[in-house]
Amino acid sequence: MYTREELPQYVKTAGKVTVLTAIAGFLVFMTAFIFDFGAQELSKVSAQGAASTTLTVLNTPPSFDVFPYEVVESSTTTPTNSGNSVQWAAIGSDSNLAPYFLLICSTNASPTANAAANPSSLGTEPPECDGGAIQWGVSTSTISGQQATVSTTTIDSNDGPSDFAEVNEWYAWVCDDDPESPRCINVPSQGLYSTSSSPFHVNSRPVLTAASNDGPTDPDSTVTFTSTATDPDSVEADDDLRLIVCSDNTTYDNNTNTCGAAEIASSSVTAITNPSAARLLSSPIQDQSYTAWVYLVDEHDHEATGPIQADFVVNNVAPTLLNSNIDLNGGSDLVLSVPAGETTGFNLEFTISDANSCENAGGGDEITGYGVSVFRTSVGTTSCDSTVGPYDPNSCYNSGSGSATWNLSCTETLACSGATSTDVGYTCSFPLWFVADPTEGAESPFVGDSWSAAVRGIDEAATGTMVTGVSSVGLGQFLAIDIEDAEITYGSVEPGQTSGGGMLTATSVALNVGNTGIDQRVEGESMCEEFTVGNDCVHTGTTTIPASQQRFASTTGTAYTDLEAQILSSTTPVELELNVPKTTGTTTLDYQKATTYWGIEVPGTITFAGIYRGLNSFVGAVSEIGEW
Amino acid sequence: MKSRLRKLFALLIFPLLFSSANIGIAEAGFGITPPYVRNTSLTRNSTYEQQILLVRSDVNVAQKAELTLDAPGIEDWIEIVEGAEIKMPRGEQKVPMTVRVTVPGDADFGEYKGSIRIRTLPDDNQVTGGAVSISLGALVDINLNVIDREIKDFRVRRISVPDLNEGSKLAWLFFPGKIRFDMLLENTGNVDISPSEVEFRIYDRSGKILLEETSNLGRIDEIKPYITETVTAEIPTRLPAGTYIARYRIFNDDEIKQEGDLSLNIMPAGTLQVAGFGFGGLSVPHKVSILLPIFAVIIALIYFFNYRRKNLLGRN
Repeated sequence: MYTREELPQYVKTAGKVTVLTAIAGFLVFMTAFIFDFGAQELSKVSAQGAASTTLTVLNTPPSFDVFPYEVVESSTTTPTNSGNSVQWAAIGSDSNLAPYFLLICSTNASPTANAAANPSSLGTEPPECDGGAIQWGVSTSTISGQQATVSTTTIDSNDGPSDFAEVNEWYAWVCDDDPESPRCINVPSQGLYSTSSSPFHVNSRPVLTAASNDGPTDPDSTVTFTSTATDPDSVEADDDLRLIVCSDNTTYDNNTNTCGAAEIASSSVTAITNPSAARLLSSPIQDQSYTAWVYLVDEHDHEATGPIQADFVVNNVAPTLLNSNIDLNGGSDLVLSVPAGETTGFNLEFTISDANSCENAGGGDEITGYGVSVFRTSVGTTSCDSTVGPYDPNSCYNSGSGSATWNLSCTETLACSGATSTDVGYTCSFPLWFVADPTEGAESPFVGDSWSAAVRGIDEAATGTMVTGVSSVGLGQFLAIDIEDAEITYGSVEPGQTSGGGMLTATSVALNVGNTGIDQRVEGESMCEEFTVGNDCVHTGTTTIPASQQRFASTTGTAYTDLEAQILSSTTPVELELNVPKTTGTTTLDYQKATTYWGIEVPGTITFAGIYRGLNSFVGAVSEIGEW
Repeated sequence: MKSRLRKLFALLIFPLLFSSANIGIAEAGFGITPPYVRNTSLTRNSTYEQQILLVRSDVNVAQKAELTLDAPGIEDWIEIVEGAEIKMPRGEQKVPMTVRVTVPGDADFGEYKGSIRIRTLPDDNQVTGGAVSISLGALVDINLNVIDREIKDFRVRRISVPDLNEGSKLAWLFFPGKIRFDMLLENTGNVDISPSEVEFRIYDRSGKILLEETSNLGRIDEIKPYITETVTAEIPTRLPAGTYIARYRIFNDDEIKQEGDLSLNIMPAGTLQVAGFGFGGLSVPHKVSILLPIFAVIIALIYFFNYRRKNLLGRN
């Protein structure tokens, strides 16, 4: 026991035992060393039962210098499209500088490290995942301290059973193939980086079962492509799907999921099933079938197996006209100028448009014709269209009546300039008969009306509707008169006698060869041998028959002496209410007419026997409206 | 005896007097169009002209038209420009005559009527003997109304729009394309007139999508009374080159005189050698962006010169 009283003695002996022990030990060691005791000798000594020490220094496994990661992120938001590879990389190192392998397994069950045959064949025996795990891949032998990479090619779930699920866990190991004691790192790694660590995600292709469209479609309408489509992926949410429709199946780019100029349509709104895509078919677009290939792509730009052909058809639509593109007679009134005939040279210009283009798919003319009618406005296109039948020279001229009836003559003045053009322009001339209803002037039963032109376009397969020009024009009153027989025949009359035995039997027949109702004003000159226009007869009782010797009436059976018989004047025109109605037909038989009955009394004082000349004038006047 | 001889002579000769039928005048129709001179909105000191066509079927003979005016009280107003006799040469099927009405400043307001009698005659004055020759004619009705109120009205007879260049940019300024909307108008009133506004609604080619609404800039030339003339409205558009459908409306104050559809072709800038809009076509902000600096400089100069003048006056 340590006592404080013996402290001086302790100090004297302190350390001496320790020093002696140390010296003794040293001497033993030196003796063994000097006499060359080696390990074998010691072993033998041990084997011979002498006490000895044994130590087995084990191979140490490689370790991660850089933890494993997915070279290309494979995550929920950025999965690996099926068929593409998932690649991992890591840097491992081995304490004895031996090469190593990077092994990727689906579980954390310890893998099996395989031993190389001998130290000189290191790096030839890659490790293997545990039997219960899927081995995603193992790298080639990699020099310690350098990067090892390993990859695996994913398989689409639609292609049948495979190891690949939509979400796949992975565990990375580094292993060596030490000939004596090959080893793998004790604890696997799943990566440290959020977007490139385990698991990896496989995006399967969407499935396009069918595709079609809602055609046939009119130009300037929308064709919609529909599909029967699904997507097998469902982690977190179903994938959105969209359609891309191309005009061929060669220009589609898998990387960009576009087909450039060949693109017809693509989905503007995505859907998780059966997406659709629409395209407005802007005119001009020729009527024919158009090739269309439908591609289905999911939200990760992974396209379905396909595409599926879904051709669409553009309808033929009838040609159209704008109402301002119909120009009747340049905006000028229609003026008739041929009594009892057709006035020619009226003008009509119009432009026909076709949303199918003015050139057909075969390169020929799409617009093949036109139908025209020119009519009094209250008649309208309901009654006066361009078809056969409604022709009426008074109020309706139509091309359907044929050129023998109405000689509408048109020439193409604006030619079709190709498939991207829609318009063809025409300039026409046409005649109107003298009976065409007048719309100008207050004294007309057609006041308030005007004349318009309507046109329809005709193409290969359709006939458009009649479009009436926005501007109408007037048609003027045309007062025209003719006398059927150009003479008044009184017959043989003696001086002091009256022609016709005292009755008004000579006649003049007024013909209405204009488009109004007419009355007649009559005046005349005295008759004598020397009469010429502007050289009136010298009034002598023996050689001149005064104008007043002629009398006339509008009714037959009037006696020369009747009060109804009006006296011809050379100074004051006398109106005779003939009331010739407006002529409505165009043949001579159709002319409206009225007869004036004449008689003459040769004064008894006349002594000159010879040729007498005279002149009676028939001045037409527009009759009252009620008498047309 | 003498008396008996005369009677015998007469019996032999006179029966032949009217039996011949050699008439060479009225072998074809004659007409006029229009058969009236009518204006119900004349004002004092106004002038109105009406052209009348004299027409005939047979052009193989030379004729003349003899005109006789019968218009009590207004003979002095009426002038037949071609004179009282109008030649209708052989081969001419129609000949115009112009009736000019000049209303005096002191004319009474009211209605005036009359007529012009037209009679055709052989140009050589010869008539065929042996019977009563016939000449044809027609009556022009005159109906005038002198009123003391203004009538502002017109009729649109035709419209058209030539192709135009699209607008162009110069620095930050955008000069719009100029639509030249031509209108053939007939002034049916009695004062100078032009459309109060022309409005365009421009749609896409299918006519379904409205792209732009615009109306004319500046005044449209006026047309004198009773005249038919083409005037042009200048309308800015900011649309790019392309083919469009325009729905236009032509206004006479609140009344729409015509509306319709037309096609509008806008060409790429510089395609056509036609002038576009200048300063007047700029938008208000762009105009302000030009005018404001100019005004600022002017104000600064005025201020500067005032300041300098005051200084000089102060020294003196």
